[in-house]
Amino acid sequence: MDLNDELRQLFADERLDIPVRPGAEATIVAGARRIRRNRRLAVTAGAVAVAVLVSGGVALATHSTNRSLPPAETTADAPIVTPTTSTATTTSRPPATSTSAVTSHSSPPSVESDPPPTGEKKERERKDVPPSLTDAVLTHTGYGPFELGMSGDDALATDLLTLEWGEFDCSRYLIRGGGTVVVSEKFGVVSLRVPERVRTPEGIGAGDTVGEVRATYPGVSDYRHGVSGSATEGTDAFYSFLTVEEPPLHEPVPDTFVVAELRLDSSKSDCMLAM
Amino acid sequence: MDDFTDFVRAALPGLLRYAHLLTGNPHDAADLTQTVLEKMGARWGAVRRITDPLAYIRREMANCHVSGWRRTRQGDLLADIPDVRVVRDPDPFDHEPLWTALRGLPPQQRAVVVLRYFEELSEAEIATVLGVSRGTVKSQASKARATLRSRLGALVGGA
Repeated sequence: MDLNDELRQLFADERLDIPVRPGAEATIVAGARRIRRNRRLAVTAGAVAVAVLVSGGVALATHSTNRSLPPAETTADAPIVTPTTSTATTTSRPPATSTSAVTSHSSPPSVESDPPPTGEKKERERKDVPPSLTDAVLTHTGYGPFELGMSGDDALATDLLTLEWGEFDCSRYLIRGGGTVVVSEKFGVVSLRVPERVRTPEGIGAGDTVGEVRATYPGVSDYRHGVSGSATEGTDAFYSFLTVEEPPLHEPVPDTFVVAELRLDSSKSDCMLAM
Repeated sequence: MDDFTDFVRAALPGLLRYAHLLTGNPHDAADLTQTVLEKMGARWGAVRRITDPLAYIRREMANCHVSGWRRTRQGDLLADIPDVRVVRDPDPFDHEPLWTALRGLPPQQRAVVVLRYFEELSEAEIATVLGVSRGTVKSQASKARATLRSRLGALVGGA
């Protein structure tokens, strides 16, 4: 076979396809809006370039990072805490428009997922944990004083939040002592990401294996970067147990993968970029 | 922006694949695709009126790739978010000789090869896309083939 044919054959190889991360189009639309807004605000060219480049690409493909995760099924799936009908969780994913497109904790307006905290950062978080969060767990309703659905004003009234990022009707705040809160103007608190030390009431959190998550919550379903499922019956809340590793496309998340991040999100959210 | 959302949803798989060929790895492919699409979306009102927006976007991606976008991006990544990429997945084609040889080509030569053998464009069309002369396209394609052949050695026959 000559080189021309070799090249055509190579370029036709389906393994060169890159899986598209759910919600990627929302990320791009938001990025385009951000550019337009920056232009309108006459931000310097350098700042625009940084905004574009920092946000570049990393949220598009499922291979590239470890934090993007759709919620558990928003309809008939079983709660993972009370898994009386756990088999129902194998239904299809919710539409991307109702999911978290990206998770971002780096400088705004990045849409990149943050890496695990450095040792120094973790140490700082441990020292700065406020009393109200010292022994807090991530329940199916929230974390310490923060509950899904509470208003942004009420969340800010805790004096534990620092604005990290805000755009349109969504804001993301750093929680003193670690973690983040995403607040929607419309729905209030829609996402809670907790620091590594925090666990669910059943004792599951960062450092546990996916096998341990499944044993504790049989109702969870796979996602490429971990598992997730409804936190309790009859609500919009869902837990997400996100792993650093990612299985090959279309293969199940192995029991041996380790949870790196624990989140409680509301499927009723209009803050896809911020979650 | 609704129709831009629909456009992106439909075009994204193909553009990511195209960017993968251009850049040689999935991470840069995702970066390039998002960078260009966001720029297009920011002026979607004009872009949508182009006869073939997808072809236009592919041209922009090729030019963006050739114009040194990658070097700029890497610099910013190192400077501003040094620990973003804690985990880098291996490229499934890391051990494919032709793919490896392609990745070693300069951006413009690589773009010429992709436009010729993936996009199936003529020399004249490639020249238009990249904003260079037909002679440049011809010489770049010739250099690329020579380089690929030499790197592949006995694995691939002559073109």
